[in-house]
Order: sequence, then structure tokens, then C-alpha cells
Amino acid sequence: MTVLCDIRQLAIRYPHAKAPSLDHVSLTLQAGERLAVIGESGSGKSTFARALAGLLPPGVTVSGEIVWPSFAPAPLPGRDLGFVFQDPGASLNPVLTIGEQVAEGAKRHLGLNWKQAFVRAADLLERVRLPEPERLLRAFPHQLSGGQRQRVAIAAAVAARPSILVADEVTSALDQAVQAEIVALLDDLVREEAMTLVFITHDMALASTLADRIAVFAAGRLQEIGPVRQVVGHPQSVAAKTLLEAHIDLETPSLVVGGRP
Amino acid sequence: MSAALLEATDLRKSWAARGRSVVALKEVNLTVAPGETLGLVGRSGCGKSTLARVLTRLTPPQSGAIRFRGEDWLALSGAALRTARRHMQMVFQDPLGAFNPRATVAGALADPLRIHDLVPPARRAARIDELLERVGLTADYARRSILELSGGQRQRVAIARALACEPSLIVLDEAVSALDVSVRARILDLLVDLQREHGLAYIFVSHDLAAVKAVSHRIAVMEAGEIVEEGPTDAVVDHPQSPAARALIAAVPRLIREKP
Repeated sequence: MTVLCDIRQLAIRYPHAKAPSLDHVSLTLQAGERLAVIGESGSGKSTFARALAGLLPPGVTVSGEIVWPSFAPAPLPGRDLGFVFQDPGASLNPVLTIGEQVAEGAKRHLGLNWKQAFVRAADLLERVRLPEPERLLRAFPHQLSGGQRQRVAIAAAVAARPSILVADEVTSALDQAVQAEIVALLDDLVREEAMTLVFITHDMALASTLADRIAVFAAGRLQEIGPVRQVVGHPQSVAAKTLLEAHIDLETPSLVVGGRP
Repeated sequence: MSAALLEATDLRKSWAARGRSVVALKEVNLTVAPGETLGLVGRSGCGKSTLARVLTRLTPPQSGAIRFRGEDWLALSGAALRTARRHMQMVFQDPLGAFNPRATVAGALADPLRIHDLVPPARRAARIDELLERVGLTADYARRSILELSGGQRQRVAIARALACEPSLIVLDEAVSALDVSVRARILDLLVDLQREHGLAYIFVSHDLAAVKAVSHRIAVMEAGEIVEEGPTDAVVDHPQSPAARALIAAVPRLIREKP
């Protein structure tokens, strides 16, 4: 395994915040692995994702190091690293067509002209299993459903063939049926393109389905990191145990015993 | 079914969109018994929120009938409707949008007590403390602003506000969907405890079949404005009959413990 990214004692504080959002986090990301970062609201998981992608807003205080041995300088967002946000309604530009937004990364970073970039965009829309890609190139985000918009955002994120994909709560705003489809899509894309995946989520089941390793965050600190079978099967930290105990799936016993009121 | 608390028959509702008519509900029938939880589950856009809003009379149906507590629920209007509304309360997905942002917790809980004249003014503060305690918050939350609370705390206040009316039915529309998993688990526990103590009935609307299964006695599966399957929770989850129910079951994320 090659080290893709070495994070050392990373600490991040937003201006006027009482507590740091990330508190001396150290971890190593291997090339080609799938890392799930899990935690509750305010655990620092999204801040970690943004720091990794170089997307922190101005004014934050950062200490520690993020070292990318195979990149000099750090990977360029859009070219080397794709980022998919939670809310595609906010991350897609409402006044640009789907085609323009997906083609832009391909044109800018793959040295294509607009015509070639649009051909690539149509291919990508087909890859993310959207119907009628040619027609969709001319559509606007508001004409699509939430799940379709998230597919567009994924297509745009991978347009320049990045080797790293960061997905920040990409299914949280979607219903479970759509969520399952998006997770399956990410799984296929990451495998076919041999990308490194950092998957931010609050759902243990999704983390266990998609990832090789799970990093558990709480209160800005890394509480535990390990392979799925270790973190899910033999959790060590309170944070991991809490997340697992709170997990509800179809195996969870009914809370209304006996089935009748 | 004379024992039913709520009985809806042949509800129809369509929305006009850009000159076209979009059918949101077609011939929906359902019943809820006292003290029972009916889980209403389906994908986005299946009509489950529209149904919740029709049942709570936030939006009128085109046709159909609703009997609630033995009365013709759709025939009520004016003062009679306002008085009767106390018995059917609703908790929404976004607790921030469901409150006046300038309200304090005490203010939000005092409104129903005053409007429905449930508790004399002198005893209201004590009743508010009691309600807060009932939903797992301490009395000193009463003075806080709604904006100061976390999402989970706000949802507890929303439940307390519904309880303040001493309802017989609470309609919960995606009430736990926006919450963190540990908060969600605690709110579900709370709902079940309250049901046991007060004999409350719930209609629990969600796209999350696992949460629905955990709290419901019966489940109704909706698709494209229709209830396509309905039955006891275990029967629907263990032996789904409709493609919609099978798809929802397949979509529930599974925890993988052993991975090579």
C-alpha cells in the first residue's frame, strides 16, 4: 500500500468558535482505499473533508500538516480531487445547464474543447445512469429530482478523472430507495476508475457497506480507526459503540412489544 | 370498525401544476385504532405527506370522508373545528420551521394551554415544567429561545407542544428523519413511552422503513398516491406482497459486521 495522504496533528478552529472543530487529528490515507468517516452533527467530519480537499473558508486557524507524498503541490480540487456535497440543490449552479456544469471540469483539466467536453459530459451522464443524456445536457438543475441532481453532481465531480473522490453526506437529503441507488453508483464508479474514496456519513450501515476502513469522529477528535470488521464487530471507543447501539435496521427488535397496542 | 379512532374513506386529492392535474391521493382508505401506531411508508413523492396534511385538515381533499372520534371530521368548521383540533396534533420534519423563531420554549408551550383553555393561568408555568420533564428536558429550558436549542431538543419541544393539547392522535411527518442517529433512537423511545402512558395513537410517516418498523403496530405502504399494501408490521416486513414494499425493504442499509 502506498501512502496517499498523511495527516499529522491537524487542528482547525473557525473564527469565534468556542471549541476547535478538529482537535489534533492524525491519520494516514492509503492510495486506492475506501475510508468512511463517521460521526454525529458537530463531530468535525465535514470539516475534515473540507480540509482534505482544500476547501476551508478563509479566516480559519489551521495547525498541523496534510502531506501528499505523490502530489506537489497538494492535489487540485476539480482535477485531482472530486468533491460531492450533501445538497446538490445548493452545489449546482441554477443558471447553468447540466451540460455546462459537467463539461466544465473536463474542458479545463483534460485539455478538451467545449465540443469534446460536451461529448464527455454526455458519456458521464450515461455512466451515472441518467436517462436521455443528450437531452439532459440542455436541462437546468431545477428540472431534475433530488436524486437525479446528485447523480449530476457526481458526474461533474469525476469529469476530470480525479484519483480521489470525497463524498460528504451525499445521500442524507435523499429517501432510502434513492440512497441505495446512489451508494451502488458510487461503489461501481470508484471500482471502475480505481479512485480513492473518502465517504463522510452518519450512518454505520452505509459506512460498513461502502468502506474498507472506518474512522469514527466525535467532538472534533478521531476516536477510533480500523477495518470495518473491527470497528463494527469490536468497537473500542464510546463514540463507535454509541453509533452502533443507536443504529436501527430491520433486525432491530420492535419497540412496541407484542405487536398490538 | 366502530372502534376506530380515525377512519378515512376514499380520499382523493390532486394538485394543479402548470395547467395539468397531478393526482396526489387516489381512493385512500385507512383506519387507526386508539393507542395504535400506523406506519405510513413510501418513497419521496408517493403522497404520504399530502395524506398527513389532508388527515390533519391542513389541506382539503377533493372527495372522501374522514371520521375522527366518532365525528364527521371534514364537516367541522370555525370554532367547532378549532376546539376539536386539540385532539389531533402534528409534528413536522423541520422543527425550526415549525416554531415562531422569536418564541421562547415557555411561550411555544403556553400557546396551546391558553388557546384551548386547558390549564388556568396560575398553573401554566408548572404544567410547562411538567411537559418539558415528560420529553426529557429540564425546567430551565423554559426560558430559552427556540433558536438556542439543538435539532433534537427542538423536536422534543415540538412533541411537548403536541402533548400539551392532550391529543388522542399525533401525526408525525418525517419527525425523526433530520436527526442524528443517537438522537433519533432516543426520540423513538420517547414516543413509545408516551404512547404507553397516555394511550396515544400515532400516524408515523417516513421513508425510513427501519424506523417505521421499530415503532409501528401496522404498516401501510404508499406508492403513487395509493396504499398498495397494508397489514401488521411483521407481516409486511417479513412477507411483503407489493413491489413497492419489496423495494423499500431492499433499500434499508444493512450493517456489515464481517468483511474480508
